[in-house]
Amino acid sequence: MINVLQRRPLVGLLLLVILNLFLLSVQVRTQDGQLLLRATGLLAITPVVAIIHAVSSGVSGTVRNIADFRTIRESHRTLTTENRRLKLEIARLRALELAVGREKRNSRLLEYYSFETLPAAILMRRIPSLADHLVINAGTRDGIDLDSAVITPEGIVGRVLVASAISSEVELLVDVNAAAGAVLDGSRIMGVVQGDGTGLLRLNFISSTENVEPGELVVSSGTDRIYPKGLPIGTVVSAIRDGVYQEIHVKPTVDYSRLDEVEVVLKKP
Amino acid sequence: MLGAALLLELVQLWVLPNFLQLQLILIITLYVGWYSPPGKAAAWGTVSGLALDYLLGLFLGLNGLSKTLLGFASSYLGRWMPDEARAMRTILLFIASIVDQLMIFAILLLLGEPFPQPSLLIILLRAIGTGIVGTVFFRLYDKIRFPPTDFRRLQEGSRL
Repeated sequence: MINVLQRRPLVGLLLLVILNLFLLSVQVRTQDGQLLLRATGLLAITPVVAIIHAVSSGVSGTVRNIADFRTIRESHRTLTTENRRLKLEIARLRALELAVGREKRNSRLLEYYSFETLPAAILMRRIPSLADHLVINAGTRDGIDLDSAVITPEGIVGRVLVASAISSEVELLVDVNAAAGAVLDGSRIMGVVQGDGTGLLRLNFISSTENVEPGELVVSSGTDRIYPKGLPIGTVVSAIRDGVYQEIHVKPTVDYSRLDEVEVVLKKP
Repeated sequence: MLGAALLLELVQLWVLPNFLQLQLILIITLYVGWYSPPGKAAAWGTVSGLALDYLLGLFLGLNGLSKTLLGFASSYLGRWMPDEARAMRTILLFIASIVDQLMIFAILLLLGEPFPQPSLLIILLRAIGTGIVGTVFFRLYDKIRFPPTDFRRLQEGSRL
């Protein structure tokens, strides 16, 4: 210290000033009773600590992000599946809500709308020679049976036509051989939808006396014992009165060309 | 000398009114600084200031800080000024006294501590008293430390 005072007086002066300031800050308290030393010390050290924290958290966050990168795809897949399931649940509940409004006294109502689903990915979009069929990665081992309904939150996809242990072939509703019980959502007029091979559906057995407007929603009636009741099938594109029954074309609510995953309705034991 | 100055500082607090209280420790600090290198002057200022703070029951470092800075400044001023410029010394003592008092008020103000409202008249009166007494002290102590030498006799002695 003496050497510093002699050789570098300005440094010595600075040290002595700091000593006096330190002594003062040790004794003096701030208005809220804190020691000035601690208050100013905290104030002085906060930016440093904040910078260190920001740097360290930035570095650790980057490292963690890199480490997490591998799990992101899996996480995304899980969330997507969950999202689909929830959407489906919402659709089911919405249908149930509508039905409750209409059929309050039906004691077996819940059975129509209560179903479990199994998510499945599409392995093959088009089977050669069978354009309106696809293959999914779930089979009998997962609880899938023949005629299990295949749906999405947007609506009905089709039914399981062939089931192996690990995969299943699904017949789309737009196939010419496929059909489903349907009902016009607004008027509650019941009919049967059938694929016409052009990507559209035909709603059959609707009397020409009934008034059907384009844009009207067609939902599943549940009468076929395959598809759950109340799920969207499509919207009326055109309705032509021709003879006893009308010729009604329905556009499916599901975009079959963009299907990635579907839900298979598990049959009740 | 420091002990005596401290004792006098304490005594004058009891017996003298505020405006007549002299800054004896300041005078000694300036004197030491005048004839010492800056580092030593600053260290002396710190020690004497802290001693004064302790004795008067003030915050340790209050006078310590002010005396440190003034002692340091005094050392540089002592280098540039001839010892014969006594009027200049008085003025410097006067200015240093004002600076010392204002510095203490400023430190207390910055620390948010309560302090008596400074009266310009009292500050000036104390500065005048400190300037005058300091000048006398400087002159007397110079005479003790550096007694007058008769160079004529020294020359004669060397011939003999």
